[in-house]
Amino acid sequence: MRSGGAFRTNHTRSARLGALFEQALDLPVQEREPFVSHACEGDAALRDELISLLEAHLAAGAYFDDLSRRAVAPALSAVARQPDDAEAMRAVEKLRERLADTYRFEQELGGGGMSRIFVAEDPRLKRRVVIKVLPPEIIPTDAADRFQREIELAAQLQHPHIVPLLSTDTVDGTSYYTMPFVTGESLRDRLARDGALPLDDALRIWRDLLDALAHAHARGVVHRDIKPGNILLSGRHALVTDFGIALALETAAGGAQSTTRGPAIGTAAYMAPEQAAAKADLDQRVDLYQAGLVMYEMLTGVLPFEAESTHELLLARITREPAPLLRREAPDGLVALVTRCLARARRHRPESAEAVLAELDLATSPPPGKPTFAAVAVAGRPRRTIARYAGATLALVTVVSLAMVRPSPRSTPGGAAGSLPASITASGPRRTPDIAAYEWYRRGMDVALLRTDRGRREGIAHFERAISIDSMYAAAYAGLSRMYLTVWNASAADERRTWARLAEEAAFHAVALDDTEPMAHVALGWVRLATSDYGAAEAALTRALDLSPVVPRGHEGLARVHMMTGRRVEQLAEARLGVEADPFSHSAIRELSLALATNDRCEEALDGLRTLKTLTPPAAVAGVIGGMCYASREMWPEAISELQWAASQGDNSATFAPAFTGYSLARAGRQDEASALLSELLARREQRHGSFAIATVYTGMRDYDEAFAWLDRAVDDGSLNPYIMHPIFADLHRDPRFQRLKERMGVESPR
Amino acid sequence: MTDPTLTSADITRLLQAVRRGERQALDDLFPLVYEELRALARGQRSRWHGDLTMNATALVHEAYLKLVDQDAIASESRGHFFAVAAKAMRHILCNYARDRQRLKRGGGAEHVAMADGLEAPRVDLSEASADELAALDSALQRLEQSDERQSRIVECRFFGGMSIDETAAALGLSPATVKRDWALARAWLYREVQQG
Repeated sequence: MRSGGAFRTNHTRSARLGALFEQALDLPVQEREPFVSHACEGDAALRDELISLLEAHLAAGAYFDDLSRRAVAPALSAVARQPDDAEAMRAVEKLRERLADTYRFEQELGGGGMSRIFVAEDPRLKRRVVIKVLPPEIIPTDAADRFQREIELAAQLQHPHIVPLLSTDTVDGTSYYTMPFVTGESLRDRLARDGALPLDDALRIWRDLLDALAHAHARGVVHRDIKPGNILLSGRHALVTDFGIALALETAAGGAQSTTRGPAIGTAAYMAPEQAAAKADLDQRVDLYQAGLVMYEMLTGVLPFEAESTHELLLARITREPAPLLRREAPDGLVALVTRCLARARRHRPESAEAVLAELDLATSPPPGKPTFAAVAVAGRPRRTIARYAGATLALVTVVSLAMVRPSPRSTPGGAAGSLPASITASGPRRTPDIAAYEWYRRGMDVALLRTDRGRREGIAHFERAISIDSMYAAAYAGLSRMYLTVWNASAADERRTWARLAEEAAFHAVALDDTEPMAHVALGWVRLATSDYGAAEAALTRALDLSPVVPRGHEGLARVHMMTGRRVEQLAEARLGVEADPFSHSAIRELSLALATNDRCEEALDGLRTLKTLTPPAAVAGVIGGMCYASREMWPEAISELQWAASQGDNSATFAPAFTGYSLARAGRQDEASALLSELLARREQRHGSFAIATVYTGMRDYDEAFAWLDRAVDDGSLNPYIMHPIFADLHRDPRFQRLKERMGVESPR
Repeated sequence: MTDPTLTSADITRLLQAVRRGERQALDDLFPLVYEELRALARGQRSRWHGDLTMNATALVHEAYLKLVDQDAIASESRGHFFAVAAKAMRHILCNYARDRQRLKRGGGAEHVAMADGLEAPRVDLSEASADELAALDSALQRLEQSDERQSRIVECRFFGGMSIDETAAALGLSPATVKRDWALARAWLYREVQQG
């Protein structure tokens, strides 16, 4: 490879320039100009150049950092997204040639997005058809059969409001399907043109849609992609197209239990929450949700969710209730029905399209004077209540909507936040009138100790059940928040924000439902720790401990806050209080070990960690903290052994084990292994450990420039962890740049 | 796309040639690495949603792991690969930026292919950023004329995300030189871009 001398450069001059530049940079800013003037005596050009460059240098660093984030990363994303137009064009052209005998292509229709849509004439039957060509990459070559099979199911549907499938085939890896050409416009076109529709039209269209859905569902076909674009308006009727395509595509892409992360197929704006959350077992209620969205849009002209980006939209779908449906002449029963279809939890939606149709009939044609079921179930009051709270916080609106979704005689939406129905007088986590809810809560708490993926999923399910029985159960929401945080802790860097948001929402729920529930404030405190808002964390945890000095995880949380704000002594004191309150609590023991380790009392820390290792399953985090203890004593073989043990536990709450292993390897002189590990971490940054892990290894390698650069990024991507305060990062603590980092972390002025 | 194992073998072979001092091998490497990086980037697009952005450094490292048979090459070849990859990354991104500029100037509707299922992502390269990247590229070309070493360093550091040590190893320089030249180059480029 070329050596330095082989580069094209103006040697003499630039060498001098470079040397002087370097020397000047070592000086404080105000001394630079005098230095340069003196050194360049006689060479005004050189002096001017140097001064100009030195001035530019001041801003250049930040400019390039910013440019990297602003331009390089988005540009790369854009490059990644470019469709391979040439390839797609070729595939379609080939298909046209192949089909030329059977169909006479007339024109291409726009608006098909990824698929290309053509109108063609079938010369034998003298009728026009629509041919939809799917892009080659969407169906892997070996999945064409699966795709066909799914389509065949859909092809069985025969119904006046369903556009039938005529044929489908795959030619050279390109799949297409045909259906009759329906004269008329799509609902999307109509909505774009007219906005909200007249009530009669909306009702008529909705009935046709529901009719079609009922027919399909009875035959086991779910559409999964109901949206105005897929509803054609022909004369006075509505027809649904593309039945079964979404499912066929997904089946082809990865099997019915496709675990593609995030919603791969489906228009984000019209996704049901369970689709947005990428649940595997979708059923017909997805269609009902989407039908609800369609009706909502027909009645109001807009969709119930607004968000800045696809990601936000999907998150909103999962965590929030829709904006209330406001349409003046719509009967209450209709509004309630549509809102029920839009319930976030599918168990709160109507069971079937048939059921919706039945209720629709009742809601829209009640005999005068006779109260209908729908009208009674949801009296006008909740809507006024929503309107009253419309400007209030998210938590309040959510609580009110919860009450509306499952109306119950004891819920009083008007007094939602803070006040409890009189029947609830028990304290603490038993604050629920329903013993079944408490049972599920208890199970959730038990399973939370398991620290496995399954344990986490089960825990979430248990708390959700508790909540479904008692929607006012604050402690259950607190438990849910805690579960979300354990998932957050075990998540890949790119998923963390979602889980943190969910945890935050749940904690808000809890506090809004019952401000006097200490577990709610504890949950909120830990959420704030996760989002690095230490002042608020301290406030929440202090309040919790005021309400109950022995609330679980209360002292532990405060100990963490002290750890982050550099108050080691207070950290240890709080941690001890935690163990006093509950000597057998895992989190208390862990927190005490961490506090001892941070205070450099390694032997005592290791004692406590040994206890954690005796649990079943053993707490892998004990290995991480233990490894850090040995590392701070420079006992590298022991450190590496502990960390590797932690990593081998399969409990991915020990996410940072590899990072500290890298650190230890580097310090132990095992450079190649450390480099290899670093490469892996760099390659998998977003999926696994985030920037903090990379910074850790660089610290081990003593490349502090890189370490700080990555720590900066870690602040941005949320992977920065309280471990940064541990003595193994002492080299960084001593560096002046650490001060700036602490400011960015928000620990410098915690109040 | 060509058979991946073939490409990997080619790249490994070329890296060995570079090590033996064959200058031409470096030039041969470039188009291969360019294509592979682009393909890798496109291959990763399904992995993320609207508001996550891709990371050039991670991509380069991933390409290295995928394309280079690490048993067959010496450790210094790692640096050579990264230098070429950084250069490729620069060209990929700056070419895209220039394409964006051309499209906008062409006026009329831009062909933005919107996926059926995926909404048009909100995170995209803004017009201003495209202009900035193109301006940087032009300035970098000028820098290449007067001080090639500095321009290579900028490629490695800025487009490849390489550390000072990695850059030094890749280009056969001392870390001190890299550090100094990086500061100088940035200052010079910044001044050029601001004046432009």
